Parts: sequence; structure tokens; C-alpha cells
Amino acid sequence: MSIINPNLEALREEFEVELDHERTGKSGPIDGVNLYLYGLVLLNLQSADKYAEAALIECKQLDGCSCVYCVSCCRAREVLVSACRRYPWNWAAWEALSRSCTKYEHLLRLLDHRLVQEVRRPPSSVFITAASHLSSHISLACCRLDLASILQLHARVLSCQL
Amino acid sequence: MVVAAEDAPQMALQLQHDEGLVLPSWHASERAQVRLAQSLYQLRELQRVASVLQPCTSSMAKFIRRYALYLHGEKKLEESKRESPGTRVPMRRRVSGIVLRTRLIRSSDITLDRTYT
Repeated sequence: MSIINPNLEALREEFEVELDHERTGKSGPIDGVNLYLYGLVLLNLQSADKYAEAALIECKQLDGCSCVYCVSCCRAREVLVSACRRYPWNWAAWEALSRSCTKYEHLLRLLDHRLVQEVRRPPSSVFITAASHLSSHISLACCRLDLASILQLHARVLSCQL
Repeated sequence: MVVAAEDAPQMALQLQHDEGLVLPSWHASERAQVRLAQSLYQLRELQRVASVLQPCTSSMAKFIRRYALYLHGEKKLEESKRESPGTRVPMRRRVSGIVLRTRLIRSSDITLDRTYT
């Protein structure tokens, strides 16, 4: 009996080739939706890994450590963060990212470190923070939701969408 | 700020450039294949979706093909789990006509239906 999706390895290899082409400039950048699928494939491969238990060990120092499975080093999370940056309106990518973090504090730190510092904070990151609070049964009052200011920043995007 | 409908695509492209977004693109020449793949997907012919979109090069078509392959793998995995002895298989039982969807396997993203009556 197979305990893993039999197409995952083939998909991973295909994505790796495409990423190589992107790095070498043979093709354009991969879009956010395809990256989301790659992140999903990596997450599933990781959960089927024999070191899956090790992946659940909480790392004390989230940034700059050499642990293979910590938040900052996990390949699946890296890819999902890129997917969220390239296409922030893909809610499934945000959900996969939050699912990949075993603790909601990790998600918050991940959002703060990777997204806020490099690009403008996308509105979806606020919503996924609120969703994580709700799923963790933590009061929304603890979460500093500055929706108005963030949505104002994205007024251009919203007016375009409308 | 109100944007006229005809300016919206241009504005979207500008925003994409400004904010480093990479959105999926597709070619008009692949319309027929994508429409066929859409119909096949609705019939749950996932392998045929993948084979129809094999020659397509646009990122949207690539995504649909890969997602069909992913779903096909998940389907096969689910079938092998059902067939193997000792695995807890969700049973379809009818008790009073109320259908509840239960998420049994969270990590592998397989949603199985359980019917209670």
C-alpha cells in the first residue's frame, strides 16, 4: 500500500526544473499559483518524511539557526511565503502557510520577518492572522489588527478590483 | 479613487510591476484545450485533463495540469487506503437523511464524506 501520493515526486522534479530555469534566466518567474502548488507538494512530502516527528519539534531560535526543520529553514514554508508574496489574493496559500506552522506565534513571526520587512504588508496577512487567532481560540483583542490603515494602503488595489 | 473599467487592466499590470506580483498568464491559442480540460475536470477524468494540457506552455494551463495530477495521486492514495486491511474506512450509513461532512484526514488534505442518518 502506498502511504504517499504517487505523483508528488514527479511534480517536485518538474517544479525544481522550472525553478532552475527561473534562476538561470531561461524562463520568466513562476507565478504565485504554481508556487502554491509546489509548496503543497513539499508540505505533503515533508509530512510523509521519516523525519516528520523531528519536523514538529519546536525550534527555540526561529531566525538564523542551522536547524533543518525550523520555520526559517523549512523549504516548504519558503516556497509558500514566495507564493503569498507573488499572489497575495490566494487564500489557500495563506491557509497552507498557517497549517505549516505548528504554533501560531511562529506564523506571526514568519509574517513579521519575511513579509513586512521586504514588501508592503498585504491585506491577506492581516486576515490570516485573525483566522489563526480564531482557530487557536485566542481573543482578537490581543491581535493588533490595524485593518483601516492597511486597507488604505491598498486602496488602489481595491478600487481596481471593484 | 475610481478607476474606469477600461483602465483597470492597465492599472492591474502597473500594480503587478510595482509590487512584484507574478500572476498566472494564459495564451488565447490554448483556449480550446483549456475548455476541454475544464469539461474533463468536471467529469473527474483527471488523467485525461493532464494529457490534454501536456503540450500547453502558459502558466495557467501548467497549473491546471499539475493540479489534476496532484488530485489524481490523492485519489489513488485514498483508494489504496480503502483497500488495505486494518485501515479505518469511513462508512456510508443512512440514519435520518442528515448528511454531515467530516474532515477525517487533515494533514493529507483528503476530505471524506460520512453520511449519518
